[in-house]
Amino acid sequence: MRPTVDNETVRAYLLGTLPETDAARLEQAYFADSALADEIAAVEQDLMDAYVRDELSAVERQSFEEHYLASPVHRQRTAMAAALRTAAAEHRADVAPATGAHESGLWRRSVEFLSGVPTPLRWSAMAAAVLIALVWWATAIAPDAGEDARSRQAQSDQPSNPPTVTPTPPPKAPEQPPSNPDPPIPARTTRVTFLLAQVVTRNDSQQAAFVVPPGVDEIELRFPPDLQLPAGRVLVEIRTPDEVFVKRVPATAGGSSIGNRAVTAVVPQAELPSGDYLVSLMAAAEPNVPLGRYSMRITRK
Amino acid sequence: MQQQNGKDADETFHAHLRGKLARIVPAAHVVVNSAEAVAACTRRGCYDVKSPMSSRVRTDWQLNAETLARLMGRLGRDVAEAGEQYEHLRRTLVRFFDWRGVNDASECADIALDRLARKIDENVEIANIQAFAYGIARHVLLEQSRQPGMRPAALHDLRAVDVPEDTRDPLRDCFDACLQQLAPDARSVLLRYYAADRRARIDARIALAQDLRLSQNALRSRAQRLRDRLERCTLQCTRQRTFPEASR
Repeated sequence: MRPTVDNETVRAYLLGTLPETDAARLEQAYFADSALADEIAAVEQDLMDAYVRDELSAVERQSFEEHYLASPVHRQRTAMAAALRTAAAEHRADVAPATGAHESGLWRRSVEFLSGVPTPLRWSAMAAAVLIALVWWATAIAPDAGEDARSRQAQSDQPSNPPTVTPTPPPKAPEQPPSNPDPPIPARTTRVTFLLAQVVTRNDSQQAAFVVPPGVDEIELRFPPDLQLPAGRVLVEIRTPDEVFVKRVPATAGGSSIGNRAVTAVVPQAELPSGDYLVSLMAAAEPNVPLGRYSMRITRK
Repeated sequence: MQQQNGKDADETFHAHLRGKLARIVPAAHVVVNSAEAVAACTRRGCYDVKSPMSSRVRTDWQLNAETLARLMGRLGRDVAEAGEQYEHLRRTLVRFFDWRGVNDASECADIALDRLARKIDENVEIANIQAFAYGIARHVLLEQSRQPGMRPAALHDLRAVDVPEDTRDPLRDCFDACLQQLAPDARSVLLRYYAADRRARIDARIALAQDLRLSQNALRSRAQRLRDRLERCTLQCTRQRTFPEASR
């Protein structure tokens, strides 16, 4: 019978935190059953993806960097996971204007907000939105429904026509049920996120290289989540390698999910032409003392 | 005619054997401590000829077609099954060394297979060949870990270096080239599968599976196979660019 191995055990094995006896037991199991090794390989890919997406807990991240990334082969593999993520993001940005209009503006923010809450709450929120829309329809639209129905019936004979636009203003975007295929779209702001990680090693010497896809308005710079930041305002300063000042913006710490204290800063893409940059974090009270420095290269597709 | 058909049917396996022997036998023939052996082993990067790992080079025993055939005979009832089991076992060994952080997992897997073949050749009683191979692999791992300078460095032990302005990352270049080599449909599936972050990823993958009329598991397998292919291509390309002489 196939041994059952849970995801946490496999992650602990890959991160080097599984006790040796348990590790040996797991190894005996996957030597006996190569399908189990395939499953472990899949967990390994998920682990790398979580690392490059900055989704690991601080403890797991530390184990990942100290144990897993100690192997040059693993570093290469993780670099490929990062490259795959970048390529996938570029691909998404390429197809977004055609198919992904719902990813922008209020609608995108609503979906992002909802995606950050537990599933039961999310469904409750969606149900509430549907209810609000129905109440609004009953009070604002229904009295005129009979007349509208006749005109709609006449128009329904012409299926190729665009949908009728009634003079009544539509409900605001957050009140729209998420299943609505055509929510009103406010001015579009497309943002791309770049993860600044201090993965600069002797063997894999490289600075973080980011490609800005076409159509992007803003660049969000995301710093590693385990930063020790002082109280008060934190700034992000961007300079060229020869110390020419480019931009200073406020940093935002927090994030919507518990345990994620990612620090981010948003810069209009037009203010970061292609080139190399040094990015410094600093307390507003002590702007001359950098809390961390990162190097990045920005290019355009 | 019958002989010809048999030859055709076994062509894959014979090609496999030829590849295996071409890779292994010359190393076993190397004279102990010759400068050529030292240079070859140093280039391959897995072990030092002066260390315990060099037993494969020093020993009088060598893998040949006969001993390899005996190993294959233990792995399966016919050529096809044996070839498949051999590949499974080698892949598992590579993964074992890789997950244990060994730099050249393939080389060490071959060492373990050589030793397994040797035990069979010496008529050692082996009840479970996979469990026995695991025991050998642990010994090889132990030998590997005892070698000076083989302990991997943690990321924070490494130091940043200055990179010249015109330096291009070969891995990224190779990755892009290999990605372009995928068929457009396959590339689209792969990029869509890995596009979204966090919870949006789950919804995106459900939508992709529906588009492709696949189950979630089938989609995951397909994406993983494509990613493995991309990874193999990228690593091979990177190796060729980094060590063009070694790859010739």
